[in-house]
Amino acid sequence: MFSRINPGLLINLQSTFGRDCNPFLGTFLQSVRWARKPIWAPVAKSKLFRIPERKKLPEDEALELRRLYNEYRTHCKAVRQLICKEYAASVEESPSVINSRIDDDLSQAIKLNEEWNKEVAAIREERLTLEAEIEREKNLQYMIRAEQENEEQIKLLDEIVKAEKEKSTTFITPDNLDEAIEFALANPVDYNFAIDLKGNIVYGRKGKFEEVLMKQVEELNEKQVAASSS
Amino acid sequence: MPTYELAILLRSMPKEEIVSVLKRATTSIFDKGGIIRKIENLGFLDTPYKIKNHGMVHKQANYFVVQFDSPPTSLADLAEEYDRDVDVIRKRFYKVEPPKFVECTIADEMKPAPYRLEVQKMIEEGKSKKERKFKYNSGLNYYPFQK
Repeated sequence: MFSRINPGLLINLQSTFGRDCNPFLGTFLQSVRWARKPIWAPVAKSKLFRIPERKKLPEDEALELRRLYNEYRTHCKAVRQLICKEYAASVEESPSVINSRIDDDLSQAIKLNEEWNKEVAAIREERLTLEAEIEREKNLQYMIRAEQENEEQIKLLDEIVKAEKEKSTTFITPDNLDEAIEFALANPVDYNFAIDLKGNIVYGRKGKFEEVLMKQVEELNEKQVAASSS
Repeated sequence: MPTYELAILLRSMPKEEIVSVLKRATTSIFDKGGIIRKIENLGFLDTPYKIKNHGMVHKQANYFVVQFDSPPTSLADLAEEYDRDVDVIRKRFYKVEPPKFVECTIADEMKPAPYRLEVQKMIEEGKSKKERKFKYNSGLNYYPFQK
């Protein structure tokens, strides 16, 4: 309460009331350490192991306090006993009756729970069958699609193999290597081309005219047209 | 085996030597288990910059392109072999991708802006968006103070 008393105020009160009737002495007085020292300062080394002397109560004071406390304790006990008695009177049931009621409640609850469980089980069964149906359908679709994709893949690979086989006649082997080199040296290729605004393409810069690029583009166009028409 | 393209630059030399160098290069592909699809000569051209290799400066080179199939593991060996060849100035391997078909839309793109489908869509989108009006939350349908 008086955690921060002004030391000056204390002196004033002492001077006005005298030392005997000082209201701040005894239990009301608390020394406030951090009015003097910073709050974080530790206990002084010289005071570290000091044990303050226990304050002695005057004998008559102690006797009076003991008497008052005994009285208070007797009153409290009496009130508690009264309340307990009243409560026991209000609850006039034997433990066996209470136990049977609890058992009844429990059996009722179990019955209700079983009923609910049955309902939920029916719903679950329905849902699970539906889900299994959907899953089976999905798997079937997946299998069909996978088979189709596989067939397409095989077809594509066959096409590639066929094209490669056709091309393989033009491959250069160690036997016709000399001829191929001679041919290459005699026929320089130039992939450069110029294009005007009308879309006319002129191939070549220095080498001979080679329609390689044009051919590729034409082939692609044909393929695209065939794909779109079919 | 994937198809690769070897772009190779040979130093300027007589035709017989070129033939022998090319033969050397191609036979090493065959030795690695490769197949050669075609050999092309791009001609004797100026290099884009001075190239120094094997202690000589080159400003012109014989450009060749060799298309071949070979296992990918053999590429490093081939590269090393060509690096050691004194007649080869530069070499580089490229993976051959099938040419992509691109649809020509230049006629559509050359149209004036309002005729382009893209622009028309944008205009429609802009029209569909309503302008946000600030609400005063005063419960009145007019602004009670002087503006």
